[in-house]
Amino acid sequence: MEASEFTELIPSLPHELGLDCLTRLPYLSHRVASGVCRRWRQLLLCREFYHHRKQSGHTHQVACLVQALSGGKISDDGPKPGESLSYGLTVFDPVGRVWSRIDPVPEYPNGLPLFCQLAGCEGKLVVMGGWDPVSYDPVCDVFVYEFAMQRWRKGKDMPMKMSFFAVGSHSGRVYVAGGHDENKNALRTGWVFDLRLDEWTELPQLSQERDECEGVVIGDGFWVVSGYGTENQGAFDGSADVYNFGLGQWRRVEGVWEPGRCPRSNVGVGKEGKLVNWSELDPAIRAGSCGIMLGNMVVGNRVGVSRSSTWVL
Amino acid sequence: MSKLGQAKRIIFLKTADGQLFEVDEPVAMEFEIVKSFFDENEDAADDTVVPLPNVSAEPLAGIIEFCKAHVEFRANGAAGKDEVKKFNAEYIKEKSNEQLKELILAANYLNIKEMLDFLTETIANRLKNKSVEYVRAFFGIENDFTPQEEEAVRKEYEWAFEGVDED
Repeated sequence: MEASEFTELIPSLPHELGLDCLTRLPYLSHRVASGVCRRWRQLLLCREFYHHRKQSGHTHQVACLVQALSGGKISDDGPKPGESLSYGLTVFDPVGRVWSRIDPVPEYPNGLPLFCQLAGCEGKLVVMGGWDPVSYDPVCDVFVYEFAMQRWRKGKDMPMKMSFFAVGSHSGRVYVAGGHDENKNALRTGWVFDLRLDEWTELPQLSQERDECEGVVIGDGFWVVSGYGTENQGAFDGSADVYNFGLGQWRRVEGVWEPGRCPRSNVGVGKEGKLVNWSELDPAIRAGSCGIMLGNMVVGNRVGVSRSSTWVL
Repeated sequence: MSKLGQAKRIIFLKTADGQLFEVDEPVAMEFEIVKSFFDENEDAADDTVVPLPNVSAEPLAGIIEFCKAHVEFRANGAAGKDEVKKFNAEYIKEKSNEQLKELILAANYLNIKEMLDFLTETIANRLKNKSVEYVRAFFGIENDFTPQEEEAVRKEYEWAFEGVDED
């Protein structure tokens, strides 16, 4: 904000007032507004402006879902015989109560990599990893969608091929851990991707291998919940590793998850920051569904992670 | 300040264009600038006229109308209710963009936080779904992009014009 502190954003209005007006502009209007003049463009595109909006309570959460597409429509009845599903991104905006579709990632115009992971981070959506939708080979692609500008950019590739890893974000960085490598070996590695620097850095190792684990951020910690080792295929563990952002260290916590139960897309944050299992919250949530926390709605987790063809709110 | 049993106190305000306004004390005290005037001049006589050299009569009348209604809403415990939203919507509906700008400048000078929040929100709402040209004209903003930059920027938001309002 400082660079433009003393220039008028709106002629004849004091800077503060001009800033107040633009701060209240809904994100969907940012792209057009950034074409008005240089000062607006500089303001709307800078990271500090996002934080300013957030601090003054003018950002809001949306839910992003990976959904199966069929003939350009979201399919209700699954694939037809012989047809492989393709996946796209849909957004639910709880303020306008509207669903919308995000443009396809440029390199995958016909559908996202299968099992790719999503993370929401400072007004951006990060899509990473997954399998090539045609060859089923694991990919290292990273794409970043800026909601304000409604455009995709390519991020730096993931440093290694991994699938079914945990993901979480905090303060402009996306954390990943666990999953398995291209030879189906469960992993105990963790990495952090800095969006602004477009850079990957390795984290210390987890306390154990955690394939098909689930990630969730609670307070200042990235929880990597459950998962299993290479030798214990499918034997989901009850423990979690928690990465403290401040300390830069993992700590192991026992007994936070029901052993044997797959945590994928089912881990949520309940009251007092405790872990909850969505599928147990309400009988109306059918088995195999997944949830994301959206404010105080009993569904979801920020610009979060989910996979569902029929999600009914 | 008014005490129980006394008649309602009236505050006198004089605008830049020389008009004298008589405003009920609770309404005038919504204006931070008036409030601090009396805080700093505790001995001010009851008929003291507060000069407002940066505000003219038209926006001041509009501001008094708004603050009066909101003081009453608060007194009736209606703050934040639909009634208030309805009043705000009606209030702003008839205001032109020019009037809106005058109001915001005046409210800024008088330092009325609640009204400023409402007015900046209104401006943001009026900019929604509008074209770049509309926004520039609305505020009198000069296009300072070079033709090459303009071209590049335009490409970026071009398809965002779908669904943009005609005006």
